Amino acid sequence: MRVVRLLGVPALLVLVWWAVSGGSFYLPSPDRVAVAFAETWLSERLTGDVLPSVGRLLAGYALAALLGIGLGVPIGLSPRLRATLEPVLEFFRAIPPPVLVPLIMLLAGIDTPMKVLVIVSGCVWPVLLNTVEGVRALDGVLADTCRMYGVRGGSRLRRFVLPGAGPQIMAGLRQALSIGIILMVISEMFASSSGLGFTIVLFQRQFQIAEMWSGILLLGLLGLGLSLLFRRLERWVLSWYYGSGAARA
Amino acid sequence: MRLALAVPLVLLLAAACGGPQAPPGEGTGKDKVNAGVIAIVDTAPIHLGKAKGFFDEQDIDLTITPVQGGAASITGAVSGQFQFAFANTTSLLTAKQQGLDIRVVANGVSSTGEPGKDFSAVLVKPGSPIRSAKDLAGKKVSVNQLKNIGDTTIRASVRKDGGDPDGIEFVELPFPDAPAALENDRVDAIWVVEPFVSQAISQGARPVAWNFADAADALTVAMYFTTSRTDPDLTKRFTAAMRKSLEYADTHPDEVRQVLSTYTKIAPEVIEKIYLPKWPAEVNRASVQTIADLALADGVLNAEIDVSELVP
Amino acid sequence: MLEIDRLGKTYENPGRSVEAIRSLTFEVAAGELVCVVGPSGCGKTTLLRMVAGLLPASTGEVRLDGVPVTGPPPRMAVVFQEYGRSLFPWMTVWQNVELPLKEKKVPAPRRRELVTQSLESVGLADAAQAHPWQLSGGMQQRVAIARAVAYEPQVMLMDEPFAAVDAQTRADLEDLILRLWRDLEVTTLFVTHDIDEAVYLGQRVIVLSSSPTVVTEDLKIDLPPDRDQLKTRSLPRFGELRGHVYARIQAARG
Repeated sequence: MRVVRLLGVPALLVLVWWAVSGGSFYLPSPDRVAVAFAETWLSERLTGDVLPSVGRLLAGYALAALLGIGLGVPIGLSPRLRATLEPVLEFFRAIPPPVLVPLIMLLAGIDTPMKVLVIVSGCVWPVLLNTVEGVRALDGVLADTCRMYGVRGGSRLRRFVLPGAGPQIMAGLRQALSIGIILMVISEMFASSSGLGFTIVLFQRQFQIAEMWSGILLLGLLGLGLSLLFRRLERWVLSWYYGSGAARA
Repeated sequence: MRLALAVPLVLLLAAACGGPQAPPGEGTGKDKVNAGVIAIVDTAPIHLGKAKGFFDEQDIDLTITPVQGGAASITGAVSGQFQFAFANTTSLLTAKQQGLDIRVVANGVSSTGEPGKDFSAVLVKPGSPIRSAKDLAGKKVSVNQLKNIGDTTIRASVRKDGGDPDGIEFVELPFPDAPAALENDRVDAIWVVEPFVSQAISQGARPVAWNFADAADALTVAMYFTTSRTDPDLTKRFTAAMRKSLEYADTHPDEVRQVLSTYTKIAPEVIEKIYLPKWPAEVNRASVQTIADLALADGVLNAEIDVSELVP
Repeated sequence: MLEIDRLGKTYENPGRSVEAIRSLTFEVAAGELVCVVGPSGCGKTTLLRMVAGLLPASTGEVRLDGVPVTGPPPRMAVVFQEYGRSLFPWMTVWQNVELPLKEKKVPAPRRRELVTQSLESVGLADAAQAHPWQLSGGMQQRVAIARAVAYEPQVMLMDEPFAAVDAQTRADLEDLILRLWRDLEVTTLFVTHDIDEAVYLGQRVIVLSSSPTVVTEDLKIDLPPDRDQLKTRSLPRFGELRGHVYARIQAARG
């Protein structure tokens, strides 16, 4: 029964796809896409294009997480910093990263550092702003408890601030993940010669439509896989949060 | 810029509404024609021809729609948005091989065939150790689009000069961004077409290869094409107007330079200095075959292609 | 041990200032259990926060062993009213109680001893591995009390700790406090709005006026030291004392 529920909707979509695809050059049938998938990706493209792209995604994401949390905590703890920086942060977060790419290219060149920087430039915002919010909203009674019992400095950070802001920080990290996948593709649309996103765009330009669709499929599976991994991580880190019923199911 | 991922979705919708594309015209005056054309130096003839009324003479009410590149004009033509469009030889060969229903109707633009006086070149920084095409081996060269006419013809230049093109690392950069990348040493050499060739030279860059001239004699770089849905009579008339425009452009370079300022943003002083391409009225079929062979050897095409399917 | 000397608090707002507490003066001797009662809004919690060093006073000062209190002093423990929010939800009961001892750099074996003892003394020895949200309200407050006890404080402050629990649990917790106080001989200041509770628990009861607050009476509770929920509360003297306090509060409310 559970299998039916999990696979039911995707199977239905594939059937609809089969029915609809027929004449159009731009919508090949599922079996053609499946064949193209096997031929294209289960080859040296896996190590040559897919893995480097995913590697850059993870590097950019990790950097964004470090930056976002590292800056978010001090900003969240200081009302004065918050008041001063909030308008500036909102200004920068509103700039779509693709627009910044030419600027980033000037600063960081055209290789891996540029691509990682593009990913960071978009992913850092949800992490940063959610961290600030989570830290700002820490419980006052717990804060008083810390003061009374001498929980200060690094100890306070480890035992109070970070776990307390944890749910909000994880929400920011979740948002950053989906943004990261999009930016991974976008970063490869400029000055690239390899990578998952680049290859999909190349197929589109070469009119290799079945291969292009197979690439899009792979992107979707990648996103799904990463999101499932993230959920697992979240459940582990925030087990207390889910257990307490504070989280919505 | 690159709407590459949005395009498939848009095309899906557009393809669903494709239908017979001959615009209503019999006996009701001129035919409305939408042509997808890149706003570059290469397409001066169609703009000049429109300005001179050559299309009106053929009862064609021509609208020129700027597109970003060959892929966009091909997809626009196939989806029915354009009755005629402009794309480079390699893009057309690739599309034909994938089964798209396109046919060339007229020549688009050709190389001058003269190294040193062509509208496309590979350039390096003044102090670069690269002196000629064979020195490009193993270096990083920028092209505007990978697996297209740029890298194919550059490899031909290198081979011609006695070098080994296999180790060249091609990187994709739009033409406008290439000179800056060269300045900042992001790449060892850049391939650009006018007006960026003259722009780079005026900044001190040194040309080391004239790839269009090297690849073949009088290379047909790009062509005007249509799909089989277009009404044959309209195609004949468009072709006639196009040939007249090409011949006129080839023989009136001053008027070409004038019309450039109407549809491009190139500065007037640059327009004066750029090398203009040639615009023969006939497609050089042998050069198209050469490009097909080179592309096959480079892995851009994956099977032999009969050029006559593309160029009737 | 604990001197409250002409303590006052005025809140400055743009435009107007509010004198919440005018002047409070009283003492708590070492080992005493003193209760503070007063009408709603008289600033009982404000007083407690100033004594704890969590809130700066506007006038007067608090002295612990002669030393003025300017911030939370190291040997003082607080049990808050909102027990749910004063425990760390991501830690187990054991970890919650142990945390202040870790901060105090108490060596591990001694920590284990203190935590085990204090959990036993509040009757939660079995709940050590549970998380706070798995416990009932009364049990959570007991964890907070265990934490305060394990800390081996000089002074214990309690801010209406049983206001948010049901009557039955409240009775149990009151007796628990009495027992702990007797065993540990720790100086305790107990703030409550419940007059009966104040008379039942305290050796002395400080009665506050309404805002701007002053001390209206420092009442000695001359009930037998062995308090019992049934027996003590049915004593005639109990009724007299609570009636007296009640009348004072009514009068103070104007």
